Amino acid sequence: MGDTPILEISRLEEIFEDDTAGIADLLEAAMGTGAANQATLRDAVARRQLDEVMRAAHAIKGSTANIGGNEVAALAARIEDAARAQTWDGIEPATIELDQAYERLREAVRAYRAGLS
Amino acid sequence: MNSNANSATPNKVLVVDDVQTNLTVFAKVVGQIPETEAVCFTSAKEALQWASQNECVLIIVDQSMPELSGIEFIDEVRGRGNSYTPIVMITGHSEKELQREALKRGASAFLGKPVDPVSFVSLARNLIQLRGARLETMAKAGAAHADQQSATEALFAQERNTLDALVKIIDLRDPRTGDHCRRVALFSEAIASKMGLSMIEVTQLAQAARIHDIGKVSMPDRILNKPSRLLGEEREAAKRHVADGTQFLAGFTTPLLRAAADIVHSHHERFDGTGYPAKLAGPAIPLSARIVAVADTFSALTSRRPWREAASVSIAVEQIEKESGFGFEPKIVGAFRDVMPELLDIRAEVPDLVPAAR
Repeated sequence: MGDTPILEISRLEEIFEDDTAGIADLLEAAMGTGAANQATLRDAVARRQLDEVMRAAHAIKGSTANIGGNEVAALAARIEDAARAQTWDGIEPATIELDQAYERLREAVRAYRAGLS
Repeated sequence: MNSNANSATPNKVLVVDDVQTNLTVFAKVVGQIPETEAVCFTSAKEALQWASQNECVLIIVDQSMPELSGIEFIDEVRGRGNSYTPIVMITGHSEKELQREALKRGASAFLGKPVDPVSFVSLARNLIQLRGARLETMAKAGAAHADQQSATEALFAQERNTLDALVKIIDLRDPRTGDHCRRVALFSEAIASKMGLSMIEVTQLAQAARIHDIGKVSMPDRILNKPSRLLGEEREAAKRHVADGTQFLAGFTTPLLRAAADIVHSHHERFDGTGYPAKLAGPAIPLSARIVAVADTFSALTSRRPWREAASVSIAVEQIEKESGFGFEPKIVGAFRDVMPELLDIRAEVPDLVPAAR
C-alpha cells in the first residue's frame, strides 16, 4: 500500500496522553476484534455474499482506522467500495492483501507493547 | 456493554457504537471535555432504553450497527420527544446521501472515522453550549407562558365573580327575568355551538348572555310588573333597559364584560336594521347579539306573561322562522331549528316557575 503506515500511533497518543498502557490495551483489544472480523470477511467472500462482504469490510475499516491501522483500513475501504458497487472486481486479491497487512499490523502492535517494557 | 452509566456526574455524553475499541477511544476523547463523561453502549437498544430514563448533553452514534442503524436510532430518540439533545452521527466522509437523510431525521452534525480529537472536542463543546441555550430559551418561554396563563385564569375568575354578582342582582330584582336570562344563555350556547363557533367564543357568549337584561334592574315596578300589555310611553320606557344596561356596564373593561356590554346594547337590534337602539343591520350587529336575539325571542314567546299565555313551541318556532331574514339572521335561525331538541331539554331544566304578576 505504498507509503501508508501500518500503525500510526500519534492520534492515540494525542487522545490517551501519557496513558501508554491504555493504548497498548486498546491495540490488543482491536487485534482480537480484528481476527473475528477477518474470519467473517473471508467466509463472506467464500460464499460470494457481497452484502456481507461490505458489512465485514466496513467493520474492519472503522475499527482499524480508529487505532491508526491505516494500511488495513485503506484495504478494507477498497473492498467495501467494490462490494457497495456490487462488483467482485479486485475483492479477492484485496482480501489476501488485507490478511497480509493485518499480520504486519499485529507485528507493529507487538513491537509497540515490547517498547513499553 | 455500558461504562460509567451509574455515575453521578451531571453532564453525560451518550456514545453508541457496536465496536468496543471505538467506544474506548470515544470515552477518552469525551473525557477531554470539562465536566463531562461518556456513557457507552455497544447495544443501540440498551442505549435507547438508557436515553429514555436519563438526561445527556450530547449523543454520538455510529451509523453502521447490527441492531439499529444510526438513522433508525436518531428516529427513535426524536420520536420519543427529545428534540433538543444534539446528535452527532459517525459516518464515512463520502456518504453524502446518508448524511442528508440523517439531517432530515434530526442529526445535528457528522464526524468521519477516525475521529480527530481536536475537531471532536470543539464540535462537542459548541453543541453542548447550543443545547444549554436552547433549554434556557425553552424554560423562559415556558415560564412566560405559565405566567400569562395564570394571569388569564385569574382575570377570568375575577370576571366570573363580577358576572355572578350581576346575575344575583337580576335575580333579586326580578326572579322571572333571572330565569329568562339563564334560559337565553343556555339557548345561545347551544345555537353558537351548532354554528361552529370556537369553544372560547361559545363559553364567553354563554357567560355574557346571562346578564343581557341587566338594564331591567332599573326598570320601574309599574312597567316591569305591569299585569297587562305595555302601551305607548310604557313601551318606550321599557326599551330604555338597553341604554341603562349599556351605561351600567360602561365602566367595565375586561373582555368578558365588554362582550356582555355588546350583547346588552344590541340584542334588540333587528337583522334588517329596524330594531333599537341604533338600528344596526346585518353584520354591523355583533354576532353574539344576533344569536342572543333569537334565543331571547324563543324564551320570551314560550313564557307566560301577565297578559297572555305562553306560546306553544311550534308557534314560537313558526314566528321566528317567519322573521328569518328580517328580524333574525337566516343562518342563526337554521342553527336554532337544528338544535331544537336541545333547546326543549333546556326549557324543561329551566322552566318559567315564577308566576307572572297579576
